[in-house]
Amino acid sequence: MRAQDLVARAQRWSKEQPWRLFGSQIFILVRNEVRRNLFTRRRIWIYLLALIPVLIILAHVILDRNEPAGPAQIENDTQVLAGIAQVYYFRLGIFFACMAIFTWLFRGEIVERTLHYQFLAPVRREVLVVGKFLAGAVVATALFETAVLACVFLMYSRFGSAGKAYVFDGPGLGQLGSYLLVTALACLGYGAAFLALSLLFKNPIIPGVVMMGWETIAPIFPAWAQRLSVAFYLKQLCPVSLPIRGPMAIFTIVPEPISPFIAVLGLLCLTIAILALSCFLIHRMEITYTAE
Amino acid sequence: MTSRAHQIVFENVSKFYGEVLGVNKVSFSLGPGITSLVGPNGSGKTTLMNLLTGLIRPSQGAIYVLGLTPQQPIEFFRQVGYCTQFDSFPPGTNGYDFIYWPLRLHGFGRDQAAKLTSEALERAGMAQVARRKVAGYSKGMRQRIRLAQAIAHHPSVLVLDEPLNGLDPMARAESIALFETIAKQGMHVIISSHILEEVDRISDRVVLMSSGYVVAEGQIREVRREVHDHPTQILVRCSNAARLAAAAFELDHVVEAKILNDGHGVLVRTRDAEQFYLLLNKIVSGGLVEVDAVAPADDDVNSIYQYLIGSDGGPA
Amino acid sequence: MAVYKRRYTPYTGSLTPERSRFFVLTRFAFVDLFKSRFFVLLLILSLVPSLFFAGYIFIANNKAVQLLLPTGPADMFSVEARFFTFIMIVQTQAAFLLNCWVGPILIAGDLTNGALPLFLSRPFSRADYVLGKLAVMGLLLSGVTWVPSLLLFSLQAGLARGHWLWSHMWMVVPILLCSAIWILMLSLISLAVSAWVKLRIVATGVIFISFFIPAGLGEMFNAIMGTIWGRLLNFSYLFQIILARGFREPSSLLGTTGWNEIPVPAAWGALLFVCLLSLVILNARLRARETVRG
Repeated sequence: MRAQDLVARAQRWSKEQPWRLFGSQIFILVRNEVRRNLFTRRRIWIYLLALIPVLIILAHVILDRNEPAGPAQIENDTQVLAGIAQVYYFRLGIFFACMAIFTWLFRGEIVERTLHYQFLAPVRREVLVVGKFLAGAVVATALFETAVLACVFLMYSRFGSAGKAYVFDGPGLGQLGSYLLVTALACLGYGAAFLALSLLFKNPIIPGVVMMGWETIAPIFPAWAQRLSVAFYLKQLCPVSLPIRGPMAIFTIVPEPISPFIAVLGLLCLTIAILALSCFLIHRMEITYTAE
Repeated sequence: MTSRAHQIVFENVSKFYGEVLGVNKVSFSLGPGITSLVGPNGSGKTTLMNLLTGLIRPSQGAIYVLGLTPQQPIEFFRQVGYCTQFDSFPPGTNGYDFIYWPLRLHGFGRDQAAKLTSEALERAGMAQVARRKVAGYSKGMRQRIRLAQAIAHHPSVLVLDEPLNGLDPMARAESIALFETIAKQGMHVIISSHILEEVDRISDRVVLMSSGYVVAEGQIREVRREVHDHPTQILVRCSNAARLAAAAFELDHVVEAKILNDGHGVLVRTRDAEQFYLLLNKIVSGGLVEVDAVAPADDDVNSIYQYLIGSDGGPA
Repeated sequence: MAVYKRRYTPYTGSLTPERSRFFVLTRFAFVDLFKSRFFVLLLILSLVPSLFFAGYIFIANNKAVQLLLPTGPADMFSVEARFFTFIMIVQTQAAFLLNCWVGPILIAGDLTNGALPLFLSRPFSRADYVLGKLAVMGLLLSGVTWVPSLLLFSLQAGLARGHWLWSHMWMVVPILLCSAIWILMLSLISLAVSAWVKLRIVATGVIFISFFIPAGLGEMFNAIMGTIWGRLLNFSYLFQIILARGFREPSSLLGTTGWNEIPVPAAWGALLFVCLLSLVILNARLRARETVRG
């Protein structure tokens, strides 16, 4: 078949089935972005961000293997695990990893002066936003879900049959499910927010810092304002309450509880709303690398 | 609308970067063939190309490419290929992937994209090194791989920003031949270049730019005719140069007639070339002078550039 | 008519003395910084808390104003060591934010654009380069840490009269010493990170993260391993330990109980180690050559 015929056929196909074209474009964008974001040396520190807790727990398993493994110890380690998940992962690790992954999706291409290749492709800019967002979400979720899974596995594996019973016959499996759900939602929520910030600001880190402040102090604001915070929804879904007192309690306090279903739905709605804003912002974007 | 559907149309387009002028009140339309954008550095050539391809938005005015705008990206970028001046590539990519994956975004299947990729690599003379990382390419190779990407999907409009930069003479000749082939197929080729001799040789028309304004636009000879400030130079190789010079001086519009050093020709500067050609016909038919060759000496891009822009800083 | 021959004539004016030549970089860096409206805004915001502290000192020393307040005169307006510790905590945090913004601007741009060989091909050493950039940070961060603190100290001394100045003169030492270690550490970390990652946006993020993530990991380490030494990774905490000791305040001032578990010499050692590590990184990354990886 001649090249011109190939071109004509591709044009006909995309006109007849635009949604299939969008789907295939999103798939290709995700594939390329995942390779770019996941399999590079530059991203090692994001792996570290996710995996250092796993290494610390591993050290704990090895060094404290001779400690008694009674129910009290399981309860204690469950609290420690809750602290790791709720304070480290959900408030620091995932937050900063999403800052790195999602702000780099567009801002990185501007720094590397390659964004024009995306803008010169026959891809709607909304599709570009969705494709890049999904790529970031795949990377962040895969990394942190793996880390959370590894943490839970290592933490209870040292208790032998008692640990197995806690996970499979006790509350362990439910807690694990909740942590995995919250991890995925955190990646989506923070990811969407950082994607939008990277389209709004040349240096999105300072607004990111402001966002971190907002996520921390949102519980002291009125109920409607709290709903504009990702952490508000995440905290509702955390399975273990942490006995933190003093100023640090602001990380775990739930001033206005809502049902888990509403929390999931609310966070997804917030994510979609922020993505819609990103789609609007991307249309204003121009290629002026010298201004960066 | 009919003309818009077959032309590239700029309607009163201005672009400002804050308080800095990019281009101002640009209006013209371009048909198929090779059009060269010529002007000194900072004259607005790249801005014009970026506006044309939607990489930047005009502050004022509208641009249509074959009746399409960048707001319809799927249809628009099927028709347009742009080889930019940005010498940067996605990290870690090789020459093949650099062309293949954008083709997949066009909606081509695996085999189709592979076929078009191979074809584009062949046309740009990059097939042998396609699997090497782009980061290891020479400047000329990087230029050619970008060109290959721009032509891979067989666009109707090919926009090339300084496409001959960094190419060796052989690659330059091959690229020019490629542009000419594409233009002969009825496509629009828009080139910006500083190499005026080559622009002159391949262009069907030129757009001369200076300080963000279009100074002249059209076919080179037409533009030259419109430049009244500078008398046209005509070189006549003939047997009796002194007689021809004497006859020429009798005409009011001839401002200079200079006998060449070898005594076998005259360089005439006239304000009315048509009248001078009539005189030449008379002299030749009268058998006073034997003419070997007549050629205009300054209706090339270089001369037009010097006349219209030269004082603004000259070629870069 | 005259024909003037153009020929090379070397510069014969006076040269900047070698010792202070690094200030050329400082001077130009400041000119560039003050062109940024965001920087000016950040600088002003960093100084806003000092205005409130000044107001507080004024009220604390003015019985008439205290009587006008709805709470009436009270002992709550006390300007002692604790108050100055609080001032220092607030101002050093402001300095941290300012440092996150300014640090990467100073070096990352030079490295990204390959400007370092240009500097170092002149009579200008790597030490001069680092000193020039450090001077920017030093002057800037001094302007939001010890300078306003000393001004507030002077204001209090002026308003309180009597023996206040002489009985509290010792506080000048912790103000200067604690500010110095904080400024030195912030400056070196930000320059080292910028030199390492080269890209400004990434550098801003990494500097910011380097104060939160290690702290979080340290706390996690403590919780899992049942130790206190994880807190050596919490730079803010280490600084506040030193600050509390300097102002002769109990560490319970800093919030949760148990904050005083890390010995002060260990805190000093950890901060100085961070400074040393930053210098090693700067030494490795600031070279008059560039490695291009294909």
